[in-house]
Amino acid sequence: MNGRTALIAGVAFALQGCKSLTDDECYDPDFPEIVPSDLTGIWTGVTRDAISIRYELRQGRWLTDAGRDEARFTGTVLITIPGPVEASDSLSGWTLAIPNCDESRILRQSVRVFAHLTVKPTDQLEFPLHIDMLYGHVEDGEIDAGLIYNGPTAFTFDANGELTGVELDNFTDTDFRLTRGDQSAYRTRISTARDGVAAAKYP
Amino acid sequence: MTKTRHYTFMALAGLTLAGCIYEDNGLVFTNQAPQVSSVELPDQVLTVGRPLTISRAENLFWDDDPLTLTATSSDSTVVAVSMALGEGSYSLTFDPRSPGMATVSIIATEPEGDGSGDEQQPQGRSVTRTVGVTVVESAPRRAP
Repeated sequence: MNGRTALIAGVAFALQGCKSLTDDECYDPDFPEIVPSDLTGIWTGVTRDAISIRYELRQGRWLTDAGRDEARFTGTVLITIPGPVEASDSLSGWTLAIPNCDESRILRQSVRVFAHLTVKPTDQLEFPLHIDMLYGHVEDGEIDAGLIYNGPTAFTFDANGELTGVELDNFTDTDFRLTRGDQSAYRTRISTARDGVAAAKYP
Repeated sequence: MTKTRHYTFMALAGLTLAGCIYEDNGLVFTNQAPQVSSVELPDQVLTVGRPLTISRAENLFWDDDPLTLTATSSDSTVVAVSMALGEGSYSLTFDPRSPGMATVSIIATEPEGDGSGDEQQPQGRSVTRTVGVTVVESAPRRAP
């Protein structure tokens, strides 16, 4: 075997080895090629059919570590809880892209976002709220995620606009989904919550 | 002892020990005492004459057993408290009556169990969390 033949054999062997190390779908010609998505921008989602969450993400630059591409998020979160009561604060998080072994495409891109807010339904009262988005996956321009929610889920006001009640809960929404932009469904649900629950505060 | 018998003996000893460990790990099935959940309820500032109801108050605690919730106030002339059960959910109401400070204790108690001493049975244990309440005079309303 001369040098050239050895080189070809070596490359073929390496490619074969690479293939054996990865999921078969990496080499499926029908498998769509995906590049890491820049998630900078506005993402909105609804949980419990009533609580709307709007993330404004600012993605940092990609960093490659151990063959994985990772970028950090900063930004803000705005949440509207039936009442309605709004709260906003800063967020943190990261996105992780796992490349194929030939590093030409991304097998999967994951997202996590954490936000710890203080909800103030009145000047006097404060309720902590933790919303941790876990293991979100970027798919078809959406983020398919899970959400751990811990804090107030609804407020009630009397006819004078005075706070009379707060509902506290902690739950995991495994079907939480974020879409880009201020979606119409988001606005519709907010509007419904506002009209149905909080006419007293927003006559 | 032949090599085969030796290995068989070791295997049996291993299985026996594993069984012992499994038995010891029976603690996994021990009934757990109620615990304070991760839902936060910080100290509150309330205004005289403006009651506040915390619904789904059972979420302030965690247990596998159904819990009974009660609440008491350290000074019911400042803030009175009541706990109501409806449709399987508790509502805790703070009734601020006069300016001052008080501590509200919220107690969650598990069932008594069957009294057999079985560790899988609840044993009537309780856990308490407290909320500081400051009651202030009603602020004057703004003219329309």
